[in-house]
Amino acid sequence: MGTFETPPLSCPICGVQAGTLQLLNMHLDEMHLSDSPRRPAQQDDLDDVADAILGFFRSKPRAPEPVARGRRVVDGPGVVRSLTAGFASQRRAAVSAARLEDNRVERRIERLALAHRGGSELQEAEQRVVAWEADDARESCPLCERRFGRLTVRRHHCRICGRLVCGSCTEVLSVGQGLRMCGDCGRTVARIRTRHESAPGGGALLAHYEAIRAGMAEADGLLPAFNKMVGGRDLGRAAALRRRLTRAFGDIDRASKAVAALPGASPTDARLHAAIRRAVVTYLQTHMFTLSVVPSRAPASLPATPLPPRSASGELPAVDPVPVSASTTTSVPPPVSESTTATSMSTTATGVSPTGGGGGLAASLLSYVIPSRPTATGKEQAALLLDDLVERALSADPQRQARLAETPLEEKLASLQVLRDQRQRVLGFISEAQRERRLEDAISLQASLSDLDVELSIIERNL
Amino acid sequence: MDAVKAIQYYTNRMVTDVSGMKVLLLDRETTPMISLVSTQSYLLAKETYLVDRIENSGRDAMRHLKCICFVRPTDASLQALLDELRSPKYGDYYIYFSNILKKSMIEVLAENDESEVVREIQEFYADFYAPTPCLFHIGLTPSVHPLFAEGHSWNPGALGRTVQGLCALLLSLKKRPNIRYERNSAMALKLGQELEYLMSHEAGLFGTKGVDSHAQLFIVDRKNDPVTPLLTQWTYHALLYELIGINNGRIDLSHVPGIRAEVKEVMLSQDQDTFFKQSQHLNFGDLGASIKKLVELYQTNTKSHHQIESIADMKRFVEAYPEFRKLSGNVTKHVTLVGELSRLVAERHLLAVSELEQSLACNEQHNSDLKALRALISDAKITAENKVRCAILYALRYERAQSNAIAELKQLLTSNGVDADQVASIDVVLRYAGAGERQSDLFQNENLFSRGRSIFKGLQGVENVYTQHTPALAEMVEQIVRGKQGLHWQERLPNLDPKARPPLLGNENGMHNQDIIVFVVGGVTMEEEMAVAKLNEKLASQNVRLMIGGTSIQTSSSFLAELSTTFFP
Repeated sequence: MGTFETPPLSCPICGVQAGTLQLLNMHLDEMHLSDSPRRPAQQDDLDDVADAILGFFRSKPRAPEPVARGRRVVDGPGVVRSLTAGFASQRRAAVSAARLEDNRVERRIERLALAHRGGSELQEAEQRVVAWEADDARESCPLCERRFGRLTVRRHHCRICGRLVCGSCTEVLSVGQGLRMCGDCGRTVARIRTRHESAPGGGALLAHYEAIRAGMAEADGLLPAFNKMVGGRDLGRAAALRRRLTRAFGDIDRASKAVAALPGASPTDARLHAAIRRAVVTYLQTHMFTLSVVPSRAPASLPATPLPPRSASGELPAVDPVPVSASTTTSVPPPVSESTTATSMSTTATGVSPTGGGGGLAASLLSYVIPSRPTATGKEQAALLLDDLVERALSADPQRQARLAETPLEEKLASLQVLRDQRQRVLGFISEAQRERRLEDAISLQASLSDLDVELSIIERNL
Repeated sequence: MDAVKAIQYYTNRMVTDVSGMKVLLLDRETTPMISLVSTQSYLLAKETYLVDRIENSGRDAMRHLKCICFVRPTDASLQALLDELRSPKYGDYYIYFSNILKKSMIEVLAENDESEVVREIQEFYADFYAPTPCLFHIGLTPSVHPLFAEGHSWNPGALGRTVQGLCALLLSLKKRPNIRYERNSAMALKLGQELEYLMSHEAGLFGTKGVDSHAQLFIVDRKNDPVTPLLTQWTYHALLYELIGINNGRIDLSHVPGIRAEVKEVMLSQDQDTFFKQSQHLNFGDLGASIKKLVELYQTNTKSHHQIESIADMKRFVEAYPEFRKLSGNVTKHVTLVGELSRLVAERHLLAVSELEQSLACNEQHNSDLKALRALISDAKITAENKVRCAILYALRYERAQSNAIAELKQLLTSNGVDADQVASIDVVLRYAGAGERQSDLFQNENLFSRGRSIFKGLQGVENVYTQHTPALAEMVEQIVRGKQGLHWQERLPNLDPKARPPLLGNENGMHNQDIIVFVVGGVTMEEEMAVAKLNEKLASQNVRLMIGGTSIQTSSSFLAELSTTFFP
């Protein structure tokens, strides 16, 4: 602007002289702030209109989190240096200047929006809010330095700062009947928009993730005590802890499956969900070992299980992540113990055992009654129950069927093979447990057997 | 003194200090530095679910994630970071620079963080590559940072990067060392001066509480030992580098005939792979025995897993499951690698080549060496590279011998179909590190006294003809630490600051309670890494700890390629 002789600018409302366009517009902002095309306007009225038009700006401004301060120097091997404090003070200055500019622009837009409601004499109304540069004030666009021409590089006024700019350096803000603004003001508007942007997305994801973290926090809190108890004599307390742990692990597993099933808006979302599930699988694999060495409830007559040598530490070395295949919930061995423990409770609760039953007494009796060989009617009953269970499992996870349909045949066959293998093995364990009168173990094995059956028939139906 | 742990400490701080769902943004150079020392499962366990490059502008916005940026303070990365702050894609930013940030940059960053998304800015000095605990390098590659400007002088870019890398290493280890340099090397002196200047300039950082000021940094020059990078290596890790190539922990096997898809690219990590940790320094023969044991172990494990008959068996299986899985992945990997190595050794007749190399490197016997070398060059089964390497070793040892046959050998190479460029690398190496350039009597054949010592050494007998050679650098360090020939080393490895304490080497009791870092301008070799690892064990009784580093890791081919750009006649 410096090289140009600019004509003296005066306020279109009160006629006060202002040196530069910027000063004049600031004068308009400050002195005629409450002025509106149809005076007198109520502030409430103004807010309502502004809310209606600028709603997207307004939802929940985010308070910046406090910046972590202080110099944390040495508390480990390497030297570190924090630059946060110096950065924060420099940013404060930069941000407050920007904030001032943001507020100014925001208010101008509000008043321009109101001016647009007035209908007629749009330009005049606009200029009462923001003074415009004279048409001959510039010979070239201040943003791209191209010379203005009659036909090619045409002059436009930025409705927000009043400067002359060329057409390609402007964009139109969809407020009122549309506001043409220059690139600089466009950036300010974008900045305001980011600042006011609604709370970060990922609502469902965050809820599930909180559940995972809560479960892990609980499990991490319980595990040291539990691991100390493993191999000790206090089986009653160990079993109680074990139940709580099992519940925590179950919660974690469920929440992470829900995360994996969330629809991903972008490939990155899908990657994120898969990564969370993978992390949980690794976590469960590493931390669920000790569970398998303590019986699920305090037994009356069970001899203390001898401890495998290395089970006492929950800190097993990190496992390479297992690719999670959606088609098998019961996959390779660790999940076997998972399903054994997790379902031992759910079966008694839902009364799924072949003999049926319900109520506290029946349930407690149930633990001691295991039919060695199902009778003919028992078999039928079991088949009926199985169907029921399959339905229930499918309705609990509606997308399961669809996912299965997409799984290639080979993969289904492979998981079928694994499941059948496991079933055979579990049958062996059951008869052994019964022979040795380890009824507790037999019960939980029976439960995992029915689990396997459900899984098998789900896959078989989908072949 | 553990280079790997030093970087892991910083990585760990980054992903642990910030809790919650995170994305980790790295740049072109920090990506390989971090991936050398940490695994995906480690990052996952620390809630770091996505890893991306900061230069990648096509990332999706995910405001519910926190972002950890770990970048080098280079122009390109800073620009990418500014762009990121102007339109932030994530909720909060925790920025870590791998080196000292210019003060003015803080202001620029502050001005661009108008959305106030930055929560923290720190300097975490993980700015070097750490392939093994006692080895680090700066990662200079001829394409990005050519080492030499002309002759024996630094290319400014390479010098700057090396000073930064060493500065970061020293800060990460908390050392403010006394610097010694090889007297005949202008490059070592220059590097020492620049580093000393930086350390006194950043007195705040290097004066931090707990910084060890008694450590020693020896800056040596590759030109004083051109032999080590030219020799065929026989230990596992070195063989992999030399024959297949390791790129920041990754080995590309896709060119191997008949390779299975799951081992087309494998990772090697001491942390995750106990077999590799135990066998990296085994020579090829012992390696074969060791891998056989691994396979047997695997087989017995597999067998026992097939016979799961009781609950006790199943429990045992579940207990051993992660170990078992790791083992099974490892067996495939190492069997493939060792198989490929032995294929290459046989295909290239490396045993024959190596025998001659070792003889040229260790023993003075001109006539028989020349005879063997002529036969080797005329042998069509030997590759051109190996012929040239042997010829270079011959030229280095017998350069000053009256009756040397260097000219004749060049002709013989040409007549056997070796490229003129390859033949010229004999002169390249002589220009870089010929007898006139070297400071030490590398071959101990320059005077009667040293010849006597060399013959005496020859009489001691050798355990293995293929591994007779000991890197000159390892001999130097051992003698210094043991207090032998103090005056000799004092002369060759002077203090940068003549008045510095301790002024003298060669206390007769040797050194005690001392950390020594050796840095090789021109690149370090895996043979030297092994020698230093072994010395660490030997010198533990004196509480002396060693670490070795270099501008890069050199194999014979990378060494010759780097020299040929500058020292071409």
